[in-house]
Amino acid sequence: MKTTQTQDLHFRIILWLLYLLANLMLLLTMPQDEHRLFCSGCLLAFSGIVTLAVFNRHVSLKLLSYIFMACVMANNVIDSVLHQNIHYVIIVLFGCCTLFSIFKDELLVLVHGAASLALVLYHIAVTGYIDISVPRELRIAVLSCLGIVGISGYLCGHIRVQKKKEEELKQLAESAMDAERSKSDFLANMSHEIRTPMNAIVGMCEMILREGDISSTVREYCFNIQNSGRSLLSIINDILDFSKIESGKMEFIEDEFNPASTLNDVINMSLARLGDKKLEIVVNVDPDLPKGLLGDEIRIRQILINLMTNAIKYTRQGVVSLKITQTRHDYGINLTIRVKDSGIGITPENLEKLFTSFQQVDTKKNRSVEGTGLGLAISKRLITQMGGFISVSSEYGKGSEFKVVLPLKVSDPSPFIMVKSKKPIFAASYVDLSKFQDKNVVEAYGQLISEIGNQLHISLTAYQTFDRLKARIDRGGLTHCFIGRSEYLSQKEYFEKLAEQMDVILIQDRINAVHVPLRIKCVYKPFYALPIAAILNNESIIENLGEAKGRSVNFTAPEARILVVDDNVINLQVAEGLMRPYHMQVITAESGSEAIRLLHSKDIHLIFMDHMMPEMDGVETTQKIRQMEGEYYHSVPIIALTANAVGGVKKMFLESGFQDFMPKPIELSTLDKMLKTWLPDSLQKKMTAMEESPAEQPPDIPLEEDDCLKGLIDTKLGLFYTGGNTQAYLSILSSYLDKGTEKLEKIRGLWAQQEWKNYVIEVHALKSSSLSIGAKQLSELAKELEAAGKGENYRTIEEKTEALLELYDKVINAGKTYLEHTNAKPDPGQAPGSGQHNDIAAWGTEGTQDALAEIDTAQLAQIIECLKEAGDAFDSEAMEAACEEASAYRCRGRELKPYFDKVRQCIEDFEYEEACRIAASILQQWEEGQ
Amino acid sequence: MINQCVTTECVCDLPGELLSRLNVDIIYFHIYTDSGCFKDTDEIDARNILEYMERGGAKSKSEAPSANEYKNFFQKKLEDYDEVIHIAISSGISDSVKNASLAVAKMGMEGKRIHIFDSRHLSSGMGFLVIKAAQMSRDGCSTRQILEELEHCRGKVSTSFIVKNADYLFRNGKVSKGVQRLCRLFSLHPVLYMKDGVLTLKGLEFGNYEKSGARYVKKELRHAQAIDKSRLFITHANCRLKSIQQIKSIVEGCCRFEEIIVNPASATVSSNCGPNAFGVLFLLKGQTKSLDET
Repeated sequence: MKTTQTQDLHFRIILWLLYLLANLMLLLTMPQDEHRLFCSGCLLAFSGIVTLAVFNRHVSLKLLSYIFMACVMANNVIDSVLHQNIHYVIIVLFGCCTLFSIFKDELLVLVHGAASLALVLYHIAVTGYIDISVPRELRIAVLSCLGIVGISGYLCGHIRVQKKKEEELKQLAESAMDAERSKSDFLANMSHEIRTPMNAIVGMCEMILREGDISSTVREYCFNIQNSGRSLLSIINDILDFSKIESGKMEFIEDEFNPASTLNDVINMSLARLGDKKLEIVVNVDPDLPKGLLGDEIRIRQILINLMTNAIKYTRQGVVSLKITQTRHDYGINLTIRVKDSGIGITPENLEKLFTSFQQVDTKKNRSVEGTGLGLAISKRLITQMGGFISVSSEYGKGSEFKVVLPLKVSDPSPFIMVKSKKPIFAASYVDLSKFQDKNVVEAYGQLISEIGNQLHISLTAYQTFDRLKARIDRGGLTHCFIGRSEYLSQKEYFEKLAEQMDVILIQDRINAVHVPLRIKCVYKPFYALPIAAILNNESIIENLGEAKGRSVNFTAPEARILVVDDNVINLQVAEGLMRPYHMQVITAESGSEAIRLLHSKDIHLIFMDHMMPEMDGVETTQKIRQMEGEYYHSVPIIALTANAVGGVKKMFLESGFQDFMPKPIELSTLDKMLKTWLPDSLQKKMTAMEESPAEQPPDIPLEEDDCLKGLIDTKLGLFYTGGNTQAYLSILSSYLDKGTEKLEKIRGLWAQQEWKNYVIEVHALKSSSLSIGAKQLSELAKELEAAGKGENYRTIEEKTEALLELYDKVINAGKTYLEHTNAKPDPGQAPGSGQHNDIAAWGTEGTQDALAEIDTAQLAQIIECLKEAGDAFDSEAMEAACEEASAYRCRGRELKPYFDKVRQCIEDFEYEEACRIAASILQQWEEGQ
Repeated sequence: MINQCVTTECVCDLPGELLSRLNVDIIYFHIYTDSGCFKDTDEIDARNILEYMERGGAKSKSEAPSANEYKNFFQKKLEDYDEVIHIAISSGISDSVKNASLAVAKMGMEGKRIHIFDSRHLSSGMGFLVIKAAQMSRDGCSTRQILEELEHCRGKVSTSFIVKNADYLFRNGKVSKGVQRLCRLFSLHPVLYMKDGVLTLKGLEFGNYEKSGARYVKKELRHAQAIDKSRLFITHANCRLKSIQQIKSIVEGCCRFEEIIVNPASATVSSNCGPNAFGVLFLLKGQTKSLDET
């Protein structure tokens, strides 16, 4: 750039010199009159200016030079008019050439050069003003012609060179842009290619972690692989996003969304990233935000998560606050998001390069902070493309504040948080802010508590001491009292008694939550308008959100038949595994043609179709299905599965006949949403609150480690194996304990009698059943003894059976004490084979018991295969379901129920292997036609 | 005693922290872009609007608050105060005085408690008047005294800016295309200043912008003995930190000010003068107290 400027300066100087030369020639040939003196003066001044300009190497005298040149030219024009002297005209034309050269127009230079030449020739040949017979005039004419040709030629040549250079630069720029585009495309393709196997890695880890029969070391390794896989996926997603934005391929899907759902996701993600940092997350959100907004929710969530993650990453202790407000406009609202932290802050120098790609500021100080440095760059580009703005203010060492403003349209203007109670609410809060060491936390909470009452249009008074609160309570009239955890613990009895008079709400930490009596309600941090409104409305937060996020499955669909189509077997297994908790009938196909064949039965309710498949891809398959005759094929919902979930694809999928799309790796929350949306309501069977995940359990069923368990039973592990279903776990534990003593004696007897074959069967059953209740140590020992039995290593059996029996006894006693101590009784409706399982029993039945449907041996084999798979996964519920299904049929004219009763009995006794063996023998009997 | 408050507009280009210290509330101008309408300073800043314009944002228009907005703003203030002194950007360059006066007229009797003062300046130039009024109000001066002092002070404020080129002035219709091309062609950097409430061309600097900026600063501060040394504002439109430090050191080389406040200009001001424009704004002698006294 600098070289070009220098060249340009030199070019101008050469032009001035040539012009000067031409004028000097004129001066020398000029008649001795008064004009000569004037011209001499002008030329002298002009050359001086040019000299100055040249030696200073600056263009500040440029204007003056132009003015002087204009003066000289004007003088020449006047002279040429007054004296009709052609020489002056020539000089004027030279000047024009020079002036036009500034604009670098090659054609103009040529035109003026030719005109000048023509004029000279015209005066020689036609008018005779220039008499070439006079040697002096001939000399002038020749010199003038040479001058014109020379200057014009030089100018043209120079301009041509310049233009060529510009063209080259343009080409270079274009090739650089092409390279940039190729890089972006490469990144996008690579990211896509990496995402697909990553899906398998993360998904398979999920499957392994669900398996019971793995050692703690393997579990830990697997957990680490899964975590690393997820981190890698998030980096890949960042790169993919960035390359899409850079190549202009990022499209935004404007869809209706509820800010509550977005907020909930962001808060959950933020809490998950807190780790062991001593950080408070304070959320302050305007409850009057419209319930329905139009925009790309995924991208807005991404921006919010990026900002929150960044704030958490760079803040070791203190507070990260999220504030969301709005301003109303005729087109909708301006959504303002403020994320403030009390972290390390940013220096003014770094603020300038903050939104630059691939750049992490203050890298020396933040060596421990991971990341690609793309988060903010992506966020800024996303915000910009959505028509919004981002700004940051920061004080080094004190913290930063990021502010995002997004203009959004509104689809439903009613407030997203509303207190519905018609009775006036008089609430008090008791949180002693002095317990927080960090003044930023005190400030943030202080502001939040002072604003929340006004926001929700309720009366809320904040108290920081117990005495003042008590005095207010004694005066009467309060309807609700919000208290902090430590405040509750310090006056536990008082608040428990107070809960009999009014609503007492405990603000709990998610970690280290305290057990409270049922009459005391709980909200979990962060404490803000949404959970408070939910409490005041006597509804759960989940209901308020209208979604089931943050908890596990809350419905089943045993009658639903789902077809998953993917050429990758591992992906099929992942999908099947994720759908297992819904008790749906999952059918898989490895190709588009197989999927079409399976659809001939017309009994599939929902199809998940992979986008990229060999031979016939998802789009083609879907189009073929849609072209098939019959209403069913036009309406059956098909969801695209794609690892390349970028903006724009949704439109493409919808146009291709899909109903929706789901990004891979499949997220349970997304799957849940899809199933809820696309499965007919009649097939969805809601689980009651008691059947749902531990996060939503009533507080009188404690599932935390109790002292009485002494590490013998890990209730959390047991809960994990029952898919998070507390009641199911308690039911399994209860059955385990009921039959425990009997089993113990049986093993002891077999050991004494040295009946090794049966001994191995029993310890095998003990291994799996113990693991399913969380008695890991016992399970490990049983496993060892099973292996010893199978390997005929009787010495080990002799040495360790006593220890096994002793441990078994301890587990039984600890379990019984635990159930008694905690008063946790399983709901009879939840016992295996009852309650929801009754629903499952209806799965596949057509007609009544008196008119059982007939199935062939192939179908029976399929059911038994399901049962075996469930057995392998220690999934007693699925085994029960398969049993129930088989019992509801006849095969070759005979009822299957009596045969499968034995299988069910084995399942109830946790003898999964035996159950599978019996089932296999049943199949064999039928296949042999017995 | 009459309890009055001072209010102003976001285009006064005073730091937020100073405004809250002086208890001065502001009303926001609006910036219209292709995607929506944003509150200047609160929702959009100089960097945002300049980046938007450089990306080729088709529409960018700044607008004073409407009469209704002024009315709501004043009514809210009158809930807490007996009288309001509102210092507005010059009527010669904005509709704010007109709209504010309309709001006052709409308010009827209540409007008599509102005093609109046309600062005849912009940016931190009107900021000087805001500081003066807020200090006097806190010192217990009457509304009349404050207004008289503001009237007196108004002529002593030096509000000038140097702009890199006339591109943004042309985009906002302040100069013709010819002037804009001339400025680009001859590397001219216009120096603008507020004269009788109107933005006027004070001079032209040629050549390298950094050196032109330095010349501008030196020229502005050449009569050091006539300048009130208590405070100087360097108000800029998204200048780089390095440039700001250079300007500051030039200022310090010319005069020793008790306080130099570097502050980004509002989006409204920045969108009119373009990136890298800056101004050194000060008072002529004997006008204000030091900010330390606040």
